[in-house]
Amino acid sequence: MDKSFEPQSTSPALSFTLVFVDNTPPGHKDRYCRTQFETAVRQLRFDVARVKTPYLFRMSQFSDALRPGRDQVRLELEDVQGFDALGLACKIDDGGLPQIVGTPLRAFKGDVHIRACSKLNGEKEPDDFEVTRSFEIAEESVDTWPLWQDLPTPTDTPYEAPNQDTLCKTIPLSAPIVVIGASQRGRSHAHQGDFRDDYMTARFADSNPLSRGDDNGEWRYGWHVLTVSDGAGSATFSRKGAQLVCDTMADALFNELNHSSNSAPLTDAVRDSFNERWTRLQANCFGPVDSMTRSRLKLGETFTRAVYAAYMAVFNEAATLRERTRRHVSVRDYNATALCVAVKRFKGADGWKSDKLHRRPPVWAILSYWIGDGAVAVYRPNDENRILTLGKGDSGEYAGETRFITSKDEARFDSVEPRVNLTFLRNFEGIILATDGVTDPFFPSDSSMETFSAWQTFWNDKLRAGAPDAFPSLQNEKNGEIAPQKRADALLRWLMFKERGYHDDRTILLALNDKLAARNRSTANDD
Amino acid sequence: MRRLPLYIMLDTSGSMRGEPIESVRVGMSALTTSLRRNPYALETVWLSVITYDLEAKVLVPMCELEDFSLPEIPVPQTSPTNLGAALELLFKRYRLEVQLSTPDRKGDWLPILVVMTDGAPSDTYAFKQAVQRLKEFRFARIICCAAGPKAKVEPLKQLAKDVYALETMDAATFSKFWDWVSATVNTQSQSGSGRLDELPPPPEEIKIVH
Repeated sequence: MDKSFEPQSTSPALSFTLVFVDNTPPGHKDRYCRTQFETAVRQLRFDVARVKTPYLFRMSQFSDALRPGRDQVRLELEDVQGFDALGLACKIDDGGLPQIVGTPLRAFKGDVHIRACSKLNGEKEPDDFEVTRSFEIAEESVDTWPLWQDLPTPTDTPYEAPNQDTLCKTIPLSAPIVVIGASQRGRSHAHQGDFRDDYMTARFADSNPLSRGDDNGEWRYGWHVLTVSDGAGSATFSRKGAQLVCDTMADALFNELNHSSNSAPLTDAVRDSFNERWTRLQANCFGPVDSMTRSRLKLGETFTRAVYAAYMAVFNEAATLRERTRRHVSVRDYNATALCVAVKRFKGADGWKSDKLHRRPPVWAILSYWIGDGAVAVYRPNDENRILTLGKGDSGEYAGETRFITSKDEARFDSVEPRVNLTFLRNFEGIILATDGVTDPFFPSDSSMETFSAWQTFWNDKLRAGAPDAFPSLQNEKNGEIAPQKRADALLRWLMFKERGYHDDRTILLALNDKLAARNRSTANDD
Repeated sequence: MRRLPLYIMLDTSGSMRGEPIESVRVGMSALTTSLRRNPYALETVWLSVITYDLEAKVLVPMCELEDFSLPEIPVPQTSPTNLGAALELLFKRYRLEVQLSTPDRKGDWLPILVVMTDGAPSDTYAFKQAVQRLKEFRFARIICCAAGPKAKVEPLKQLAKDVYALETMDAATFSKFWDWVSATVNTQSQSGSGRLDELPPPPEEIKIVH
């Protein structure tokens, strides 16, 4: 049966009843809420929905009728009719507000009959009234897919940039960490034959064992550095800017953390601050950790030097090009964001006494610096289901507005230090560095980037489900591991995902702990 | 979803009656056709049309490019060119329609404004005031078009640095102008924050008055 031939009038009329429930004791009733409820019902107007496009209409004007913290006053929905058939649901959300949500199945144009009544202490009031509002579901959007072109980049401009890039590496530890990354030119750039402005790079310390052999082998592995940068769409040479920022930051940090004369005291300071924190935690003693302040100061200085190095690299590049081409070239033409992470595993310490206070488990120290949009986060579902966003993105009032590492003011200690983050984690499933081309389509707002459920959807339903080959399951764990390069390629294929309105360059760099991921998933299945 | 709002302000004063307004209509439909060929514009551009004569009216409230259809443009017999009132109305719509980023919502791209006139503002005081207020509202680009021999460039220069002058008001010239507008919007929709030197050069019929 083809349902599309049915005349639209046979579709059931949409209706629901909104009940204002007030159970506050008589004498404490707030007439204001009741009035607000009535006003909100009368002011109700629905947004137009669209077939096959997720729809969410929150009737937020009802919040005036509810008093926060007073659960005796609430809204209830009754006799909801007709919404199911359209693929929509009309319900009360977690915040107590009515909403219409779902993905419409077919076009619709008609009325919604809303009946409003109130129930005071269980008794229905006689002041019912009805309003009728129009509701429309527009036809499905035109498929824009065939219209996109894939044009080659010009050859006569300075600075080449390949349209795609991948990166992979296994860090051999008892629980190996696999680093995979992929970067893809966005459709909006391909359509015009523009370059990919994103860039990513990494420096690994495993082949450079540090000379100091003490500390129970703690020093065997140094800091690994991962960087991602997104060149500004408005800057002519941002592709070069992104590359310079990534490479310079990575080199500077890698050197500072692993090789320079600062590296030993710095790493000591980081370890000490964890030790102190751990000891205090064991002793149930809270308060500011002195050594944390000291290590933050050192880290702030280290990162400031790295940021300054990146700025100078761009500055010199601009000067060179200006001289060579005799054209007006400024640092702004190289604007780019920066996402940096440095990780190191500290071996556990048995302590000189066998008491609990001085024994501490192995731990990951994660350092990060983040300027601009995109995201740096640690996914660890086993750990209280929390997402750890390492810092805060910078987005302006309008789309496309953000901050760049290439602004001169950003290379000051005062600007850099607040952006530096030091975290200690027993374990993690994945560290994520992604440009806004990847995060924008999946996180509807800045605040959703701080919620675990949004990340869980991203991680499980989008990333893992979309690129299964990049994440070995238990099955292929048994059959032998997938080569990292294959996993990076799978990630690159995933980056081609279609999302209406989102066609920026996409770059994602992941550090994955497969063993932990497999364990998390197997326990999840057991439940 | 991030939108690129495009506001088009059309002069519907008495002098636009007949061929000029018909040319505008043809040009506008050429504009939408051309934009609809660009996938990025199709997914991001939202447009709104404001007309102004004695009073300013919202002819088409902000809607998706896909759903846009231009109705008949009513042009009264004789009427002044109240551009000041039109700008005030634009500011109201801007406040209402352009979404800024908040922690719970993503902001739109900076809007583009196209102002077209064949005369000079009649409500000079209101216009002066509106020009002052224009600074409060950010646009990625303001394109001013002085159409025909009677159009005054000076007032428009207070709105935008460059004013594009059309010498005649026939269909051919107008269509060239709208073609160029669509190329500009296309560029803008792709780059987000386009720069002047990256824009396509205007055709010969359009003179840039600096």
